[in-house]
Amino acid sequence: MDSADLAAIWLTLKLASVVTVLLLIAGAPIAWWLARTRSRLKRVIAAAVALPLVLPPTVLGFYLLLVMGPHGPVGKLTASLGLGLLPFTFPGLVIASVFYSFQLSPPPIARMDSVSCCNLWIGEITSVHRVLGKTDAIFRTKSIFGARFQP
Amino acid sequence: MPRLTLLAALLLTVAGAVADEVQVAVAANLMTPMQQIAALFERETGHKALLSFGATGKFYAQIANGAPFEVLLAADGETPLRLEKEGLGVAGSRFTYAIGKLVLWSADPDRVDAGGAVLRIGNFRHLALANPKTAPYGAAAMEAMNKLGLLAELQPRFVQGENITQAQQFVVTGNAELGFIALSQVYKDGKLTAGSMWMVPDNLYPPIVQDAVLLAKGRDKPAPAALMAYLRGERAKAVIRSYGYELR
Repeated sequence: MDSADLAAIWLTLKLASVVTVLLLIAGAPIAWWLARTRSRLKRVIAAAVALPLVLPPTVLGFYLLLVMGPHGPVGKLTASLGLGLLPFTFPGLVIASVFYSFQLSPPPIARMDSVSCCNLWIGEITSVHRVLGKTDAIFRTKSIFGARFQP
Repeated sequence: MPRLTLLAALLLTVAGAVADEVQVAVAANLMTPMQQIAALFERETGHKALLSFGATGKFYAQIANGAPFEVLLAADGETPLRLEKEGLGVAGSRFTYAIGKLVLWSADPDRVDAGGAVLRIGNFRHLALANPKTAPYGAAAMEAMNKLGLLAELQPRFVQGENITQAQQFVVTGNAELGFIALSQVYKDGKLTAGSMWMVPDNLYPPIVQDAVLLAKGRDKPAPAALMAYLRGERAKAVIRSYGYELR
């Protein structure tokens, strides 16, 4: 194992920690809203959250590169703010990872339509799988918590 | 009863379809030509080629760990040879289907000069290449920069793609001003399709001899054998040539 390997492991750990914390902070309110709301927007938001699930990672990555690149809206914004461009930087990695992993954070929480707080992490991903029409089995493997806490 | 008949019919259809499919691992540089070849192959033989694209080294690891590929179209000669020696490739099935060309490319039509001087002038922030550990085109790019005596100077500006397609994406989106990619990604019928490029001279890197190999999982099956034969035929060769590859 050379220094490049160690650097890769270190970067992975750092990225995973930062993204996990951000997802807990960002995921909970959206999940809470998704669980309670009767808004018509519910399905739209739930679908938007689940969207990265149906896009292959390389496709999602390509569009993130486009949006954050020098010709993309986010890229133009960060450049005009004097922040430079996000791709190939640590903040860029964090943003892309949050985007990609976001699907995994609210859905397990969103089940708690009427139930107790413990169900929060146990739940299956009913709201999302209704939107996509997929089976439970697929979602159980996709949910971080589902496998361990099958009801 | 009609239900059972229907079920039987379905099962038969599925079984028939499986028998006529071939799972192909394709080096990323061959993406566009191979999609075209697979379409011709299906039309002419009725067999369907299911293509997966990626870095040759990654495919090696997947095949060694039991991935169900039946044919590998590698971006080098070493990987097919190694697979054959390890009993994962069918002995005697290897052949060279193309010789790849390395180019320095930019999406900006004015950035890369025909002599590649831009590398020395250095007015760019990022230089994209494919991971040299897994992608033969990445290794060739390292070798070319080494021969030019620019490797140490350029290394801090590297951005590495997992495979050559990702390296190209870095450049297409403008996030890297330049990148070492495969000619086949930006060339069709004698013309550059976009941007500007420098054809890296042959003496700067060892020839990228791209070999195909029939894998153990494809042994004695009709569709993989048909694909191997098809790749040697004139129709496939014409497609490969049209993307700037050399042929033996």
